[in-house]
Amino acid sequence: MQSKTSYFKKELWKQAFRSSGWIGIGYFLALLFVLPLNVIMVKTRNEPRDLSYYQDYVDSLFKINGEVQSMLIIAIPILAAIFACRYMQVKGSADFIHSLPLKRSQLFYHQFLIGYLMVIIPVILTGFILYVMYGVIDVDFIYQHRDIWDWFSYTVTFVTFIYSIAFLVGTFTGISAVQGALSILILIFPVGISLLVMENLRMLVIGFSGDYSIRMSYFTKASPIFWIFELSTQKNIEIVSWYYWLLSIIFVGLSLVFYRIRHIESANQAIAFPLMKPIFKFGVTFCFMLLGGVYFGLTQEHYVGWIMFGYVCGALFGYVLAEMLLQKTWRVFDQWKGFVIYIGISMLVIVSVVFDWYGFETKVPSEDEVESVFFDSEHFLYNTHYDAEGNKIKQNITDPELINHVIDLHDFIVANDPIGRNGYQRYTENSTNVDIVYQLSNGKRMVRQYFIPSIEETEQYLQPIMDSEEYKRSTLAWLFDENSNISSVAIDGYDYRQQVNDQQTINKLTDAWKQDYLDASYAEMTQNIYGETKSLEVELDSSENFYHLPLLDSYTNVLEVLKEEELDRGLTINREDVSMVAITNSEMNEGMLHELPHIEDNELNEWMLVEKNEQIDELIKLNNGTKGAWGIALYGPFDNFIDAYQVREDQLPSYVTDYFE
Amino acid sequence: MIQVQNVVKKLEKDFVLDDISLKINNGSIYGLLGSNGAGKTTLLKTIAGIMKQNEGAVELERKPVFENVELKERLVFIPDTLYFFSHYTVQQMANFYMDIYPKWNQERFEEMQQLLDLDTNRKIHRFSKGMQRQVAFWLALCAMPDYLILDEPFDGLDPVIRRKIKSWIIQDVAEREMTVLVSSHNLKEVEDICDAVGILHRGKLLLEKDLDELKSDLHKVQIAFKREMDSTIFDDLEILHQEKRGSVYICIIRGDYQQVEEIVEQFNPVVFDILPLTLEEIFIYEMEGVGYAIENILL
Repeated sequence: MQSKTSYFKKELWKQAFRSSGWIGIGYFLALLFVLPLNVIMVKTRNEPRDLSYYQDYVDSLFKINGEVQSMLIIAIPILAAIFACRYMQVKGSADFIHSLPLKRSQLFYHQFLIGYLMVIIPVILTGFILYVMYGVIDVDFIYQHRDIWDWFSYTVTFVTFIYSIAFLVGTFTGISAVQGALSILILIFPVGISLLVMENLRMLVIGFSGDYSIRMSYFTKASPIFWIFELSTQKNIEIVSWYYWLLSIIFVGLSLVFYRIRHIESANQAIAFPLMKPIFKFGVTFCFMLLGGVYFGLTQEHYVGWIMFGYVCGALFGYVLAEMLLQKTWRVFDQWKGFVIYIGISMLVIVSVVFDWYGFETKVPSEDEVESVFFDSEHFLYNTHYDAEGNKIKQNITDPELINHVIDLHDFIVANDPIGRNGYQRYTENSTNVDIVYQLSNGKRMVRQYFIPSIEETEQYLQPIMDSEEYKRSTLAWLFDENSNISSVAIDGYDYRQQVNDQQTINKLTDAWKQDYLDASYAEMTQNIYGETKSLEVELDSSENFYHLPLLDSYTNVLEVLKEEELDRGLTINREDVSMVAITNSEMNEGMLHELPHIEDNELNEWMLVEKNEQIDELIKLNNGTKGAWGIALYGPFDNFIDAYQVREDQLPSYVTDYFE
Repeated sequence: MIQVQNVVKKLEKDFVLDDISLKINNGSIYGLLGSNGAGKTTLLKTIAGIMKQNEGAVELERKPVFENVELKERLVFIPDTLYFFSHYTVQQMANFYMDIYPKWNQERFEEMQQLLDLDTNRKIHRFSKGMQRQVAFWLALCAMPDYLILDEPFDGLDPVIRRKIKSWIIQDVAEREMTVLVSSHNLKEVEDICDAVGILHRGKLLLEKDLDELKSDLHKVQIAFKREMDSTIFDDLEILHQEKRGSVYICIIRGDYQQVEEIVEQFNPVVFDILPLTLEEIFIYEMEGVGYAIENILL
């Protein structure tokens, strides 16, 4: 007979393993196939290509079947926690187990640990196998000791964190399915709820900045799911692990506390603690309300009536859903009182936001309140405020006169309400979003974002800002930054690409470029760049980032340098490059343009094909950025598509118009 | 000794147990009667330390039973719907009990196996309902509990198994002074083994009686007189029920039998018989006394 006083009961271990052992075995097998076996497969394939691939791209073990690993990191701990908590969630089992002479804490440790072991042992074993493999066969080109440790510590950190969250959820609920769903919801909750709130405020409040990169980064990083998927896609990420370990310990402590006060009769109930039921109910209602608002806001283009409809529908749906879960029946329609109170309060809040009771929309700072401004207009896609240190905001306007222009622009937008509350945000070539971040003298920041349907209306305010050297320098910070090290520049023509690695040429090029950019006029900066065929691509050493910039015809210094260095090949389209021109008076579509040379002539009813040299010459010259109903496409000697542009009917020579009559 | 004092238990907002007090002496069998939903199961689970009462005290030997390992080692609860770990065999389940209950009696386990003639390596969930219940008792009794709490143990069992299980219980009560609490919605199922009975109705304990006391306290008598008597003759007796067929009175009288006899003899009855009372009759009259019709409370 064994010891009567032993705290750990052998048979309890056995029982828990019998019910959840398959999870551990399954996880181990999955990891075995995903990692060690994969390494052996690569090794036995013995292909030279693999060698360079693994040396160049696989910088961590998460890069090997990373997606599968990420899915496992999320799914396995949740599954393990669900099975570890079943003993208190299944009615018969809960009654039986709690009638035994065992303390709750004792039961908790047994069940918690066996579930945790199911998650941890496979990781330890896999790490050990990888370690042994490293010693036995030459896998140095795939991973080193350090990689095993990184893989092991991140995997253990995240599975521990997710397991502890899922277990905590398990002590709150009496239904396994609810436990699974709630665990996943909680994992994405920080980022999900912030996105929803931000998106809703952006719809309801004119000027509210929806630029998530400014406000959201914190919330995104708080969501472990973000990191878990980042592991397999990003290079060299540093995750602050202690934060997850601390939270894990807190969650385990809370689980024990909640489990000890949990009533056994709450098995089979969606939420085990009566106090939490209203929190759950109104939490679900709130989330669905926001979701409903976003859905109708996005599909019905910010029309407040529809957004309100979305709120009511979403809230009703969420409320009924939560009520059904709590009562475990679909007949919950007598519970309308709570909903009426909820919708009443939330409508009051929403109305206060919509009618701007807090003065957010009309507030424009006065000149003496502002120290500096960050101003950005996304009209110029290449005008990024990304710099070598990441996307930190740098104040780019400090000149008081320019600050005044920004404030005037802000005043104009507030006074004229260019989109109006129910206006559609139609994105056109002339529309833009502007971001304004005021650094106020009281140390606070004021962030606004506006949609401007047509920049022509605001030209008088925008022009001086955009013309300023200060602004220009900030928009291409990586170019003007003394410390940024450009490792290569590629020059892209319409069908030709050349790369420059020579530092001297690069310096010459960038100097000319800085000059051209600073000299560029407002009109050049705001011109439509979508049809531009020539561009420069810059690679920065420090950040491994690539930047694309259009090469405008007005950048004379750059073009001159390129000519000097004989790098201008393929930048302009010449007669000799073109062997066929196709003209149409109907709309062109991308797929059609590429297939056209391979289509039988008699099926090209809407197209006229021109192959005579003089005529080609004449048609090429029509490409000057005008807009019109006619389309012209150019093809090279190998039937390769070169470029397409639009022209007006009056520009066309008569033989073309005659052809279409 | 099981002692329950002023226990209140709420599920959600409903009072399932409303101020319950009862006492069960060592070595006795207590029958808890009540219709479905009266709160029997809740009371049993509270006494077994599974549920925690909202108010009041549940004590075994003057110590609270909730989270008390020493007490629960000597207590076994058998629920109305049996629970065994899924795919467990009798042997595996026995090993589990052996690990959990320190007083496990392996000798007895083997003895009872001979008696039952069951294959211990078969999975329990493949057994019939009656067999499963025998396994549950087999395991429970081998844990040598001092307190055995049974929720509707005889429901749906055939009389042979029922008698077998009852004899096991009685044997342990007689030999080891085991204390048994058994619930039922049917008085007849438990009347032959219980020493005391309590009736639970809508969360309240309506009645609690010792059966021997009940039987000696209540008498059904048949009396006839030579001549017409006026009803004042019964004034000195505590009559619970009275009916007259011709010249014969049939009365249910509470009180000491000798006293009743003395009083009646004064009037020189022609016939004076004591008739046997079934437990069910006792309850019918007792419940009438507290203002309930028994058929509303028990089947």
